[in-house]
Amino acid sequence: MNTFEANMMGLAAKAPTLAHAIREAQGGALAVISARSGRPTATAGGRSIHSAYDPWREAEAWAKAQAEACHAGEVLIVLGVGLLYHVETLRTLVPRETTIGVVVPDMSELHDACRARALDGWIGDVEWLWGSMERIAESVGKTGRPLRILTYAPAAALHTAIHADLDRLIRRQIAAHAGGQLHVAVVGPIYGGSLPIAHYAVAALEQLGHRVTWIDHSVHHTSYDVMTGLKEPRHRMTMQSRLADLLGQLTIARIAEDPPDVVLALAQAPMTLPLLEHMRRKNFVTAMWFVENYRHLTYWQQVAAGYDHWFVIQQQPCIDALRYAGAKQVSYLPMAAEPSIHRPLHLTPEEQTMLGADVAFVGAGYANRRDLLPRLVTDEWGFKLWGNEWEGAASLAGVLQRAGARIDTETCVKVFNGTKVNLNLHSWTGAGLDPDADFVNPRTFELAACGAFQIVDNRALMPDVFSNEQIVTFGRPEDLVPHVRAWLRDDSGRKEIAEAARQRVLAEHTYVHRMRQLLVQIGLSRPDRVGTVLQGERQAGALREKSASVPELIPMLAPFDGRERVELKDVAARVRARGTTAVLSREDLLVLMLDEYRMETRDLL
Amino acid sequence: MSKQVLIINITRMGDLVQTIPLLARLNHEWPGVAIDLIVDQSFASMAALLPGLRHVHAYDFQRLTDHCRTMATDVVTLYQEMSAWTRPLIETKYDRVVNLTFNRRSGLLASHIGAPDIRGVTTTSDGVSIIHNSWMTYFVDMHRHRRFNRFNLVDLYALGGSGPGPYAPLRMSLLPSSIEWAGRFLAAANPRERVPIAVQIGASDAIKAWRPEYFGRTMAALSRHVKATFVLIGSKGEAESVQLALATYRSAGGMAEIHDAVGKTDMPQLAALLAQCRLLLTNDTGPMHIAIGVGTPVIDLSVGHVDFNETGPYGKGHWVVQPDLGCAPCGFDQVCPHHACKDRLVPDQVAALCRHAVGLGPFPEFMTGVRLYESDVDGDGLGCYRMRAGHMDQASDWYGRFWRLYWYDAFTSDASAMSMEAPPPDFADQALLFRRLDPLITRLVKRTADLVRFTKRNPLPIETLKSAQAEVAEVRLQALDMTMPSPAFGPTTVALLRELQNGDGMELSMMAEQQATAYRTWGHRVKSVMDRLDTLQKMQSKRRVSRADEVPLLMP
Repeated sequence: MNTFEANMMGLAAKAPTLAHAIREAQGGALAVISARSGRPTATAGGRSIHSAYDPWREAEAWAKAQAEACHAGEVLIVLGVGLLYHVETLRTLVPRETTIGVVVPDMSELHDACRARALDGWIGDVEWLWGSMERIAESVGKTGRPLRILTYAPAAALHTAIHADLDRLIRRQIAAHAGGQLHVAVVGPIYGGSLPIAHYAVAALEQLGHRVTWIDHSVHHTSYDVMTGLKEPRHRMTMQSRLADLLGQLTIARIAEDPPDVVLALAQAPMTLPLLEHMRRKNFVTAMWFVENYRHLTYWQQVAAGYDHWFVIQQQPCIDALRYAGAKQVSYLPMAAEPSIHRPLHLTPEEQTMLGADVAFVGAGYANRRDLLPRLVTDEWGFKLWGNEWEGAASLAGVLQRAGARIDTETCVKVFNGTKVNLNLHSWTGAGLDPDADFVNPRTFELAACGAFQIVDNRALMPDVFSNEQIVTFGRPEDLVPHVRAWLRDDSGRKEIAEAARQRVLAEHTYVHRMRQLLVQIGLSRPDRVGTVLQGERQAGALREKSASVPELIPMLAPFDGRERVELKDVAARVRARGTTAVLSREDLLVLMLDEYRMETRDLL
Repeated sequence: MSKQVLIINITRMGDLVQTIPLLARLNHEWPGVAIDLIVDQSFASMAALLPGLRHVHAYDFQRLTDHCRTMATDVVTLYQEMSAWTRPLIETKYDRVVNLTFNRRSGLLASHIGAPDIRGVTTTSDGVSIIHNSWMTYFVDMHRHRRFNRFNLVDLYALGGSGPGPYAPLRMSLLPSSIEWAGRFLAAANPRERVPIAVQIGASDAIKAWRPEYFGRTMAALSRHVKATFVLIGSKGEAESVQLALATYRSAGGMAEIHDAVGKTDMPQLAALLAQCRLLLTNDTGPMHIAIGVGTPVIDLSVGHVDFNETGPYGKGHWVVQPDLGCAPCGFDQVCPHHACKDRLVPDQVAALCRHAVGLGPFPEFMTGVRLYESDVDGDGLGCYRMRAGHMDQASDWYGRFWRLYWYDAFTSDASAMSMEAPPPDFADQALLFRRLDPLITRLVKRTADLVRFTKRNPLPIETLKSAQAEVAEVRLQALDMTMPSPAFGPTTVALLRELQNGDGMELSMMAEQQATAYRTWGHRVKSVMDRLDTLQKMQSKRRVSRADEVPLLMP
């Protein structure tokens, strides 16, 4: 009997459907060759999946490192198939009662492994996770045991996107079964600085395990731009205002299809006061994270009373101003960084030459920057200026990179990493430093998260977020050059401060932290709604306890896992799932009736 | 012990008023009956004006919708609250539930409360929505052959919720406090010297609202001939339309006083105000029915998708103006970019009709582009409309009268007191169609009877069943293609389709039996329709022959 057949026999007893699927697969995902040690090894697309010398030894080293970090009772989810050396060795190192699940995104790969190596000794001792990622995440999430995801990188790299998706789905499943999963609709602006913040907020909420509906209005930026081209200001404003109204209606139409627990808008999201009032009448909870300077962007005055919750990046007098304008709940919530994007990077020599510098500034040409930055143009060090809207700044023309073109985020991160001293100067329309220097801009957190050294203009709220050991500030324009000079000479000092700042960001200032704080704040002020979800009171177990006074409801809640969030639609779905031959009780009819009311949308739009 | 009936009427104010004859009819059927009503909280004050109700159970269904939709309340609390509200209704053990709210959720509510006799939308034991009672089924499906419907919704409610009986007008009571309020509101208008005319400019749906400018011009034209005082009614949301009408009124030289009650009345006050007016000029709206309920004549401007035959003013002495346009009335789902039907109603002509309606002008003989109807009550005690001006296409007119009689005879145990003598306008076509259709129906009746026999065999002959059912489906498709466009056979086919969907059998042979019954009934109906057409055609021939006999021979 050949290797493949022996493997199939070993598998068929436990997982006949999988065995059939492996047989049916084409194979050819891996190119199997002989390693120096004589064992088979594999490549894919020219990349080595296992060591060309001794794949077994390589796998042993990997498995040993993983096993040391594992704890009893965990379920280990392995990403990366290859020829499965790593799984085989892991199986020998962890206790038998530890479940190992191997994710199989491509059955051809497993087919190749089954042809190449004898696996029959242990192939039935692991769980093979195949099929849709949603189904895998659901089954993994329901185990109720702690999960640990182990990645065998060379093989996992063949399916990076699929694995990232699975990671996200598993997190969501875990949160759902922990009872804390909220559904948040995030409404972004058409364009502007808060658009990337909106993306970060979405990612953070998903990382926290919440379900997010992302209402992306940036897709309409082109239309908005066309209107910007209108010469008559009244026509331009009328058309842009109508577009904003329409997009507000579109937001309502989206949330009508899948009503969320919270509607979170980012600054400049097209939501008018009448729309917000309509949403309030319809019982939606709304929140705004106003990530702008309230003194510069003043439209908040029109919508202050519209949102249930305001989160702002400034303290008093901003909070007072909003309350005076009618906002009910206003909380301070500073900016943050996204560590998956704002991270330390090693630049290649070419990148270092192109993007690195002794001193650099990235940003738009506001008046105060045009006033201060020429002081940094000197023979003492190399200075690079990046960003747009620098037209007319003759004294900076020689240091302006890429002719003042906007640079993307990834390039920006490389500039941060490649620069010894990053200047972070908050924008202001006058000369010198902003006299109302309160909030801390996102750049401060982003630079810190990159582990990049920065000198920042003094901000009143800086001590709340970074200590003097974590950030270097200056309070007067004339202090800028001496600071730069001094810190350029202190390599170790720069590294120490930058690392301290990075650790502070990772511990307290990521978007995950912010979203958690935001939801906790809303939950505290809405304990009957968001609060109950976050505290798990909408879990089936808690609801079953609450059903003591309506015992007829207990059987309807019985099919749900105790830690699963259960709402009306879930109970109704179970009633319907009984099919057309089930005889419905009075209680079933009542649940279905309530669900019909839930599904009504005509009054929303 | 007295019978107990529960009426579920949740969605519209106008529907509530249109329920009044049903209340009277139930009392006729069961003297001393106790009638309770479930209504949305926003209409509770209107329900209080309806005569003959024992309890009004008001509930805030909008709040329920908002809470369910936004998960504001957990499922246990939602269930608990609703269950506490329905428990006393269940414990009442009603003899009949009449569900006049035609949606699935009201059907689930009706089934949840339960009764031996549920009429209107209800559910089968496995939760599928069905409609009980032929009149209620007719109501749901009448839009499919709208141009032939001659039953007012008021009569459908009364016939379906109870049965045939004497005509009962819409009559509501008024609260003394509201009467006093209305008197004070109109005191300045000096209604003894001026003719108070109420005007409803807005409507819940823009498509059924006549253009505000035309209202303005009508009022201006009327004010030149009648010492009127206009009382504007409507909700706050209609303020923009009202302002547009007023602007036009002024620029057209309107001379009468205006009393603006838009958004200023609750329902009892509105009723009292309308009671003090001599006329209401209106779109097809809830206030129209209220005006009728307090005895004020109305002129119904029946534009857009409304059909006065369904929802027009009920009883004697009201007027309906309908555009004479091929697309009028349009379908409920129609999205119309032009609303051209509204331009057919000429303000000066409408003003002339208003003068006539208040007894201060002759009948307007020269109304153009419209059909004009006067409301009445027919020999069966049902609401009807007599065309006083304009033209209707022959087929719609004839088949409208035909189906009015046919369905009355079919659904009630009383024969209609009405008759018709005119021959069908398309007898030859329908006779030819019947000759082609009859064998298909015979085949369907036979095959569905076969299916009933097959379902009783053990073991079930699966392949035979499949083959027979496939044949039924194929033949039905052929028959539907023929019958649906036919004015003679289309309506009975619609009834067939509803009966096929309405089955509540869960077990296979019961489902087969219900199917066979539906086809047999259809076959009988098609044949009886053809018999009637044939009889009427023959009557026409006999009259021709007898008239020929009367002609003296000219030839020696």
